[in-house]
Amino acid sequence: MKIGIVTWNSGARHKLFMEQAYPEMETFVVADSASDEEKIETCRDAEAIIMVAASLSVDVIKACPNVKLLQGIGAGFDKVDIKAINALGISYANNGGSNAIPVAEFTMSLIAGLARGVFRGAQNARDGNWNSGLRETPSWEIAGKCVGIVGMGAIGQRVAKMLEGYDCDTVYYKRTRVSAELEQELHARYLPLDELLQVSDVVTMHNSLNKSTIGMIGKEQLALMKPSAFLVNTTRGACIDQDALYDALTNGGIAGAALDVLAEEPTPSDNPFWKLNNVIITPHQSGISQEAVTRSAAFAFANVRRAALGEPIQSLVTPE
Amino acid sequence: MMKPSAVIINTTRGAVIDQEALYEALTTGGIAGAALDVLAEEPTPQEHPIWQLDNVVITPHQSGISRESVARSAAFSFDNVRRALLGEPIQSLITLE
Repeated sequence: MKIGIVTWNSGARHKLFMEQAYPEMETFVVADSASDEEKIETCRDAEAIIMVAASLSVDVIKACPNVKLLQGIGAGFDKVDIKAINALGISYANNGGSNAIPVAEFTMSLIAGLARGVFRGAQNARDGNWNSGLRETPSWEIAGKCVGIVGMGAIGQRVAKMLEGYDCDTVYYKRTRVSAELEQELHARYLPLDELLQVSDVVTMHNSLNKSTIGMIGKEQLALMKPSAFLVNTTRGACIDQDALYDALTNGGIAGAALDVLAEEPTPSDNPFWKLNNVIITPHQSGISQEAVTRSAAFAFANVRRAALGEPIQSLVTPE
Repeated sequence: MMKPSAVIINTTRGAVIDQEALYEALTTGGIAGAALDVLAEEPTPQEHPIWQLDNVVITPHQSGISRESVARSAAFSFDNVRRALLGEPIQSLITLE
């Protein structure tokens, strides 16, 4: 069983990932930074390719005639031309929710960090401003507030479960509503996006980026949000119109934002978002954890094995 | 006794943790990190060595403060002093060890 691996991992993280390969697998590893020619040279005979990277050129896949499955390692697939890959008779699968735990945990820390003033307090204390106005204008509590989850896949569901401990009202929007059983299990109430934006004290983004979700939070949507509300984005920067967000953050449209993802990454130091003291920026780190490396590797190797054996593939992604 | 990978969180009182022992554990790999909303000395002076540690998050004794808790604690206090003045049983009485 020949498996090609295109990876941006190196060192210990690569080793950890490769430990999950099955004994019967022959693996062919090439760096994500290598040229297409080198990737083709390495993966030529592969029956499946695991893409430990954001994208892979269709030219490479085309040149590997035995490939049945391109297995991604992230939840998102915005940089993969799935239509073109499917046209070659090759399937694309994402990570089966294997980073839902780290993303959800990170999201919770951003929500609590914003709402409870953790970031503000830590920065002020470090700057020598101990009292920092927190006693005069305290941050608010999450209990009893409304948290709106946009997108209800593996990650959104995990966030909903974690929110239960906060005693808040959880609402969600998803293009296709989830089952009544799942809603009940998650204690999450469905709302159309516009209504969710109007009632939520925190809006957290967990949809995937695709043609229909580019800029889905724009000027009009931000205007629906409460001036006291926070926006958390751990999915893709392009889901939110960056200029409209900047406007809303600077003219009182919303109270603040925590952005693990931005339209431009790494975000250049002259990006105006860095100047805003109501914005927390983290470097697209939410999905990364020690455990998720192993979990995503285990899922990927099991899935490419299924593909090679002709068994049903899990977490197939189909184009819009 | 703590794992080297463990983190400690303190939102009660700084004096509950021996500050020098904590500093040493944080700088010698004894524990992985700390989040301290309370310290023995507050405000913690800028020259305090703990500010130099990148495995420590310090917040200014803010955990108990929220917009909602202002009203909640006021309601409780006024209700409790009212009980005391009317000779009714007082709630949340604290007795010495």
